[in-house]
Amino acid sequence: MPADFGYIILILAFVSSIYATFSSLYGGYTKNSAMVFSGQRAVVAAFLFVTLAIVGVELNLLANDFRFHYVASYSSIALPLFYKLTTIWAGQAGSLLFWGWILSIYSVLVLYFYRKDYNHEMPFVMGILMSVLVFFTAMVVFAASPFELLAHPPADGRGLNPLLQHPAMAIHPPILYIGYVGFAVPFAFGLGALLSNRLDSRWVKTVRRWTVVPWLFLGIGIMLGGKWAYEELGWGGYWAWDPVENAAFMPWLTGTAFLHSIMIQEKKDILKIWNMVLIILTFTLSIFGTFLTRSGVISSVHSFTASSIGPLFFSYVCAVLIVSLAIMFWNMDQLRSESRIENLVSRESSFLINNVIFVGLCFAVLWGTVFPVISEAVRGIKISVGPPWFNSVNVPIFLALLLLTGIGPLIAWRKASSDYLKRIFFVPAIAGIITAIVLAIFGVTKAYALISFSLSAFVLATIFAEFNRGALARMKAHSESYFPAMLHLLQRNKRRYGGYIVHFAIVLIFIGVTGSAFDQDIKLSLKEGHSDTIGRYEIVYTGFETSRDAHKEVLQANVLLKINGKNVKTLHPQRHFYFANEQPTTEVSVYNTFAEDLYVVLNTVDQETKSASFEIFVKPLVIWVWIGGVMLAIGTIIALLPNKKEIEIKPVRKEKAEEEMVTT
Amino acid sequence: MKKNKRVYIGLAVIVFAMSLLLIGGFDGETMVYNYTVKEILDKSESEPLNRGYRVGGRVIPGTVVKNDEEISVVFEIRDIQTQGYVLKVTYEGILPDTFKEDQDVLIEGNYVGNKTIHATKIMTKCASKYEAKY
Repeated sequence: MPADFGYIILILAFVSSIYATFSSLYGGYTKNSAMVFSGQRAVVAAFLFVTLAIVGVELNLLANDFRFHYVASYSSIALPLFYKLTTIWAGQAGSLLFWGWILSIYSVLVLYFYRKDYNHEMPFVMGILMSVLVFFTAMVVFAASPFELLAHPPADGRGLNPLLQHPAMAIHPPILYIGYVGFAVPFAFGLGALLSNRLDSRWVKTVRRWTVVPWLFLGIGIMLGGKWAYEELGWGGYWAWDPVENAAFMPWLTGTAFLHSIMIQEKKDILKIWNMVLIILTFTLSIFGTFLTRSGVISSVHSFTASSIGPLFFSYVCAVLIVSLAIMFWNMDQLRSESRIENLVSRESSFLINNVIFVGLCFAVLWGTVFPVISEAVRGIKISVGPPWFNSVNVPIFLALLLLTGIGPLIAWRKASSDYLKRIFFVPAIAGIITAIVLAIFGVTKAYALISFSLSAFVLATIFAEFNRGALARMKAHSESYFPAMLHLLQRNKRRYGGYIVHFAIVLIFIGVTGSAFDQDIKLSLKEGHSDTIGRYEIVYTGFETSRDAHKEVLQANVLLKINGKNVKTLHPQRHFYFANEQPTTEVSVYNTFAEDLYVVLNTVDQETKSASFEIFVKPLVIWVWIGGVMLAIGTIIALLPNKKEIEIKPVRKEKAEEEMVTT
Repeated sequence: MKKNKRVYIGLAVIVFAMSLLLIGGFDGETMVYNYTVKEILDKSESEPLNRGYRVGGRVIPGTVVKNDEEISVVFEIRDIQTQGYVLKVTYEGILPDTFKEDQDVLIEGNYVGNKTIHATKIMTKCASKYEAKY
């Protein structure tokens, strides 16, 4: 697409989003339906223009048109087609445009589904979504255009960093963005409800699915990032409390809190202010997350070189927070609830505690992330806050959350009697205690790990007991046998039991992460045919080979893995040397079992002596993190599916039925 | 009303506990100062040896010597801003993929005297093409 044409389209997208913002908001205030309608058409126009711009950038990438700065910087002739297409989100200008595009898609979808049902709120919802689009289109028009031309076009582009040429990494950014951007919808609905004076719990019900979806995508994005780090970076870990990881984790935390507390508002009509604050925070943190990854303010392994968009972005983050909080305070008296939480030992209060801890955790992560910047700016002292700090502060908080995962969903509404508590929690508590004792006998002495495993057993037991109770009740009522009863239970109450599956997944992730307390690693240098041992593994280095293709030279070591003298597997750790790039990349080779991973990193092979050096990690229970991630997605999707009842009769009935189930 | 108070007290206790955790985290062990090569050389005169530091510098081209038998590496870094300050780095382990000569690195380790730091961790500022400059 010619540069001038591209620019014109970007400007048109920018102008349409400005028009959509003002026409919608003004039309909403003056109840002028012609203006509102005109604003809605501008929303669609903005979507079409941004889509066209995306198509334009993709065409430039496919055509290897290196006159464009963006194409020359991130693509090259040799780059495989798939990565050419994904290059749109590899760089700053493309990412910002892509962000705007997802936002415009969400806006059009919301408009399509709810313009009739929510005709009072919709002008404000659209006005807010479009005001966000104004910022992102302004960025690509004025600060970082993907259609910028080079004075001296090179013959070939620089290509995509080989580290990023990995399927998980190629789809990681858009998945994260679908998450980040998606929180704009509940945010816009919240403020829209405020501005249109419609603060019953209706918007909260509608917005649940629109929060769960971005929450799921953000979660999957975080998991994929971890998986990529584990397989590609070769340092044997998947999470390092890196600012860019934290950037995605923070809105996920407040989003999780929001998802829980809107259940309370839905059923009890309380916590209205708190929910509003949570969704404002979640969206602000989403923008802040984009800012952290895109501005390079905080140096990290991901750090993008300091860019001009930093100050603009930061001002925008502040503006979003201040304006939305101001809107909230102006309408504060609408938000007051009639009823209140009556008892400390109740579902309401345990959810509130969960919320406070989630927000506290998020604050701790935020504090650790920005502290180096604040310290340097205020005191001129450069400080690093690394994993030891995050772990020492966050691990106890995580454990408290794990405990609540078991307690929260089971405890009764309003007031839980001590008889009830005993009945529900006796067996799980015993399970937790026995787990701790057994592990201690088998020599697990690390306190946090013991607590974590014990709490995991407790929570698993509560979840199994819930499924069991439900299935038994159904067996009696419908004369079904056990497993069909359990299946029907799930089908009838997808939201509730899907939620339990999500909790189950979280426990699996906890178990996997706790395994890292028992990591071992060694550095080895082996002559051909020689071996060494780590843990129960014998590692035999049998030789190396080299090969080359059009882009790279590959050095591969062959390692035979033995357990108790038996051959188990041949591993092939590699190092890749790309011709276009001096930076070699590590291809680790991993032997996975449910108990532990053996993770082999090849360092070098001495061409003369033929001896090879390795770094080898034994990583207990890692696989459960990934299994947990998959379960998380499955559980969330189940919880999103409509219940049969919900289709047949009104949703209100379902809530009642669900509540009855809880108390039985 | 009285019962409601208990909810607030419960929440206050939790917030207080989390604040304690946060404050307790700043004990100097878990947060590390980032020194420049110049600072560390000036400071090492007066400070005891074997203290943990984190120092940022630029890898001097041609100084990187790898010993593949022992999986160790020795190289020199210089102060990024001021000329003439050089620190020797010894490290046992595999250099990160992104490690390159004439590039800024962050070293975590113990100062062992003789203008040498024994690194426990080497971090590179990503020299990737996330943001190429023309």
